[in-house]
Amino acid sequence: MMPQPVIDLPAFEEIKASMGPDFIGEIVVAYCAETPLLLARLQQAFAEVDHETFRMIAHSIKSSSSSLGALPFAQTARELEALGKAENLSAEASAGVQALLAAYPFVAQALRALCHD
Amino acid sequence: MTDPPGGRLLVVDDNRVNRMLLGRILELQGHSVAYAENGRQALDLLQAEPFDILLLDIEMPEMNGYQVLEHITADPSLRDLPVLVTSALEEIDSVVRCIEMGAEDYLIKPVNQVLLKARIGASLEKKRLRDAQRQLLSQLERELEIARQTQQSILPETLPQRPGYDFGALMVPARAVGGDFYEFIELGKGRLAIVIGDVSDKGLPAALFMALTYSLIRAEAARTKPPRQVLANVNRYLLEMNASGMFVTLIYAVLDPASGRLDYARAGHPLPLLLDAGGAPIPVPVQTGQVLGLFDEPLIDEQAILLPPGGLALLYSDGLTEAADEGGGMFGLERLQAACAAHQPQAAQDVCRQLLQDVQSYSNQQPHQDDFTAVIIKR
Repeated sequence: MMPQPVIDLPAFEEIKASMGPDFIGEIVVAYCAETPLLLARLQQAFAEVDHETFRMIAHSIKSSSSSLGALPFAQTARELEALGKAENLSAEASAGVQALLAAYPFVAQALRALCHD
Repeated sequence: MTDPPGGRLLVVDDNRVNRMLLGRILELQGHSVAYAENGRQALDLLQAEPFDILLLDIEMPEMNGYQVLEHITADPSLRDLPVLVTSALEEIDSVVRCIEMGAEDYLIKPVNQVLLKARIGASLEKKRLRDAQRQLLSQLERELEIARQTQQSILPETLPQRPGYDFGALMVPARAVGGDFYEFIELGKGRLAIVIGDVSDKGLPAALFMALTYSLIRAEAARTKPPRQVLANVNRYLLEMNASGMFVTLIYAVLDPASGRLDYARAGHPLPLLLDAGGAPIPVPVQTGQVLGLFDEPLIDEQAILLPPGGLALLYSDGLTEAADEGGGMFGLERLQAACAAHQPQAAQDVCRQLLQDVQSYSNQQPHQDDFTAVIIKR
């Protein structure tokens, strides 16, 4: 089975076409500025076992990532949001956070590259 | 068909990327967009300037979408603002809750542009209709207020003065304007015409018919002597000008202060109530008296009664006797007679106020069902 691409190309191209190439660049810049901050806050909420903050930050990452076509990344965030809602910040949540941290550079790189295509 | 002009929209989302994406789509669709990062900022902006639609995220720090909706529905100035909730597909329970709290519709993120355009268009159209409706209502209220002031200005500002007599009068319309009226007209040689009338129906149509009748009475009183003839002439003009089928009940009475004699013509109106100095009722002769405005030659009840020294005469509209309590029982003539006798020692104007209070207490704060009009002559 082919691995799912980091960015869903048709979804991204549709957004790019409707936003215009300049504006999609601005949005990707904003995404790449915001997401590392959100990931840091997610780690902190996990360390402090703050379920509500954890849930809300995972929700926010899911939402913007999904909008830009970063679907696997958004899916991981969605699962973390559910764990936060279930107040279950266990090893599974820890693994999810690590997965997001590991995946983010690839997401950012792919988005920047797609902006210039 | 061209698209209607864009609206002024407020996008509320704590996620900057989401705000930019949604805002851009809306701007490309011809709208002007403002942004807020959380509910509190949104409420501040809503207080500062008018918006046509609020696009509201649910999950937000500081103040979430539910709290914003609570504030909006509790604030009369914001209650009609259409709110479109933006949410993820798996948050459908939250969307349901928002719609129950007053949100107009919802959009699933990532937002589908075609659906967004359709929902924004529909909400803007509804908002414009509501705004037009509100504007019309406020214009009607302004016009009604002018009508109310005009009607109040028609009623006498002061009560007549006659040695040995005390006059009181009160008219309280059931709505902003009413169909009841009263008037005192100086006839010369000390004689005084006292008029009370009640137009069928209530509200603005009744008020206009009342103004017409009032003007005719004034004109006829100045040039016609017998009360019966005054009413017959008024009836003729009313028939000529009355296309709406309205009618009016009236008493036109002429007081001769020297004798205490009241000559009156009565057209379908309740009989005057006459009390002696001890508060006992004095029977009043009665014949058929038909309303004005319907018949070519209505029967007019023409009578002469004597107001004895210490006595009281009450001319009133049926808003007094027909005021109903919660069970539908009417205030009635007996209760009115007893109330009048009880208040008789007071000044005539105070008797009017007391009667109003009695009727209102009897109806137990039920909404005013009919105009209240009372004219009192004490000797």
